[in-house]
Amino acid sequence: MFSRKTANSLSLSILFTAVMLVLTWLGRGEAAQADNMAAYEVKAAFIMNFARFTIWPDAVMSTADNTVDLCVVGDQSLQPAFQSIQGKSIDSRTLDVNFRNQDDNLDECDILFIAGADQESAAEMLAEVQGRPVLTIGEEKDFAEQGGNINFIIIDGKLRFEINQASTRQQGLRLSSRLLGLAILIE
Amino acid sequence: MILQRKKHYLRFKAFLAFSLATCILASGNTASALQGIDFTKMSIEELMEIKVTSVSKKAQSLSSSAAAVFVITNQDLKRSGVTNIPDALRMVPGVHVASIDSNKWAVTCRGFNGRFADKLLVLIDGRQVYTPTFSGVYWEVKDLMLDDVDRIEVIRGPGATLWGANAVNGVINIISKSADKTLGGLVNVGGGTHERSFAEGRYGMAISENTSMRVYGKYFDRNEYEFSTGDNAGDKWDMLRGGFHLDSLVGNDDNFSFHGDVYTGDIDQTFDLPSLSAPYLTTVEDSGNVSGGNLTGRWERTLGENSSFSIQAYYDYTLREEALEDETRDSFNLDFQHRFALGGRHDIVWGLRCYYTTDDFTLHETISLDPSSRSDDLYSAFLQDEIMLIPQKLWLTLGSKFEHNNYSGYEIQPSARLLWSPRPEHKVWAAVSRAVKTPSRADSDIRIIISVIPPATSLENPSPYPLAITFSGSPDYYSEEMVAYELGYRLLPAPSLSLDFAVYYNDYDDLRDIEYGSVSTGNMPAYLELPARFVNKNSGHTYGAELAAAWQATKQSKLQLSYTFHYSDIDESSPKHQVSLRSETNLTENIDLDIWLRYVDNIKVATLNYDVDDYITLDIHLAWRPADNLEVSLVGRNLLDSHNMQYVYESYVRPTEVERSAYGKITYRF
Repeated sequence: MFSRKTANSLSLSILFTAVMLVLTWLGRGEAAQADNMAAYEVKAAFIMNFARFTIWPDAVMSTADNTVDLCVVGDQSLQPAFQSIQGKSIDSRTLDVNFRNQDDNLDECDILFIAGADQESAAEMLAEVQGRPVLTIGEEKDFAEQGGNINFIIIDGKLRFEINQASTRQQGLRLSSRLLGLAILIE
Repeated sequence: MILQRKKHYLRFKAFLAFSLATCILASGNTASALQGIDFTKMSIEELMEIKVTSVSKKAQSLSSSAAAVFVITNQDLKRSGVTNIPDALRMVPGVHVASIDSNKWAVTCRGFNGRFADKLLVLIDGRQVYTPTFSGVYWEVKDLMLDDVDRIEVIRGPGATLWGANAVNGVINIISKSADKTLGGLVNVGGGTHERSFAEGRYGMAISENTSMRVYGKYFDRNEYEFSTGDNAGDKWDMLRGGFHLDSLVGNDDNFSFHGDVYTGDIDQTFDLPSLSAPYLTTVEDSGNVSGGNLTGRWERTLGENSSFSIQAYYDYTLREEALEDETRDSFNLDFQHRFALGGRHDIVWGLRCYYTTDDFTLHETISLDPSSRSDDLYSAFLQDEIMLIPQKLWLTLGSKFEHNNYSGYEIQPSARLLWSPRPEHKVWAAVSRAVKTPSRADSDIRIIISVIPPATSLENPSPYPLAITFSGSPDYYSEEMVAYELGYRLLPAPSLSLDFAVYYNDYDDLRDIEYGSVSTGNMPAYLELPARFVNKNSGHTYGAELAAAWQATKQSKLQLSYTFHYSDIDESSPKHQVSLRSETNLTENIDLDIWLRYVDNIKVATLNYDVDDYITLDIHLAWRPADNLEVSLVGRNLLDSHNMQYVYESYVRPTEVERSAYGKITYRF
């Protein structure tokens, strides 16, 4: 299979493969990330801020567990972007990021972020948490009109968000006036 | 008066300072430009000022397409240290790239490689860049400022339904960044052994809030290689190019884009050309001139939630003056595409295209075309429907392209694709498609003198006259046909690991064969001719398997592996086995070390029956950023061997070998 010249190169290449593997394990420094991850990193930072401006009913937040549970439903590729907000403090609590599949149980979520789902499955998930104190966040058109609480939209290349106040009240949540002031309000 | 002028001047200066500051701020605020920024420390108001793009959607739709897709990112281009597009394609599974000499490449996908490989569709920003002359690509003139390339999407297998004829074995789609993602200045200068010197610069600015533009210029001078005999190959070359890219968003729904490039280059090459008079073989040290330009305009409108259309028009001009041929070509193209959702389950795309091309050849003894000038047009329409059979689980895509061209008339290229995603991280797909390679200008009209056997020399030509062996195209040549059966599986076993498998079986019919006639005395007493012509009499099949794996081992290091297996019963010009293993490591925050190992199995160059050995080679890229806006890098290429042969030009050029080389580069951003 190998010519003699190639066989000579083979030992060198094995050496370099070993070097690669060692480098792979020992590498230290800044992570290199794909371009499109950045948009989700920004969204993650937004979501952390949303959490800080949301007031949950006392009954929910007085339970023993000390975390605000964020459930992210979407493609696995966006998971690295959400690592940046894992463990961040939300008042006296810490943010705990969980990755869920569409069909998973959403009982423990305090915040539900639905990434890139179609209307039908978004509606299903919204129905599942309807009336419970779960802040629902989406990124597809009409998500807020459909009954979602907060929806990301891009205007002139910049992220904006819509808030559906009625649906937020139905979930038993209160949003700070600062947040409402920055949002596009949806009836 | 003077005072007023001074005031004007001051105001101008303030404006200049302001716009510069805006540029810098704007570029700094682009989320993609500054990675590693901690967004969690920003307030909502600050976050609302960050520019984001919806690239993710496109990327997502690729990862959920029922086809074998590989994407070379801007990061891959930077970290691999490549200086041109063909070399970048060496990392793609299923693709075989071989240097023929310093300024020529053979590039193909899933078999049938050669300088004139003709079963691949290549697009740069939606502009078709393969030449209708031979349905292949003059890779040496297809170049961009690599820093401004957003990504290169490579779709293996037939993409004819959406993309059109010639997308038989694959589609390579080179996509440059939009102008708002390349704000600010960038300068690269460097040089080395093979890359003797290069300099490139780009400046991007925001003209208004929604309009951005960049201009660029690029020059390089590349050294010659050596023939396998050790003599200089006389194949040095240089190229100068420049261009602009303007993007404008009008309202929320309309995107306009204008871009264009011009280039000119000198390409040296050494030909051993046959001639009809003594000494019957002449070595020509040629200095060819290649130049060209193009201009593209595009309008994209969003009509609603799930509906949009685009119209694109371009003009392309190319000129080649070399010892083999003199050719000018003008092409015009108009594309329309409309996408809309229907009843929640159907996603429909349809489009129309018309294309007009006109050429003019100056006849040479060795290569001539009859007629020497020709104009052709092409009309096509396509329709594709992606049907969601089970919500978020099962999709069926049906479509077909309908095309009319002047060579083979009407062509129909249908495909059916099925995608099943039992869980979001598992995707299984299968496809059956038909694609055709329509006849090229050469297939129909060319006449080539392959060689001239001197009189009374051997058993081959005992006559007292020279004997010319010629290949001719035929106006009767029709389309080569393929039916492809494909199967793939993409999975994400863990967030840090992605795997992509694809297997295929391609069944070809009406492929090109060469049919020899009997010796003709029509040109007596000048010479005897043994004519051969292109006929659609070959058929065969290929099959193969491809794997692409990417593993983000730690936050600082990434390993990427591609493996290709390919078998063909009619053609050995593509290797049976190929491996590419790349590691990207951030040694520290400011130092990157990247290693790229490649193995390419032995091949046999079809028309020459020439054996090219297998080889292993290695590239290393080391980059250091002493400051945020400054990078110094060193690149070593083909390091394991002082020289290796990768391919041999099918005619007239002696076997040439790629050399071990190194270059240094300084990148400055402002």
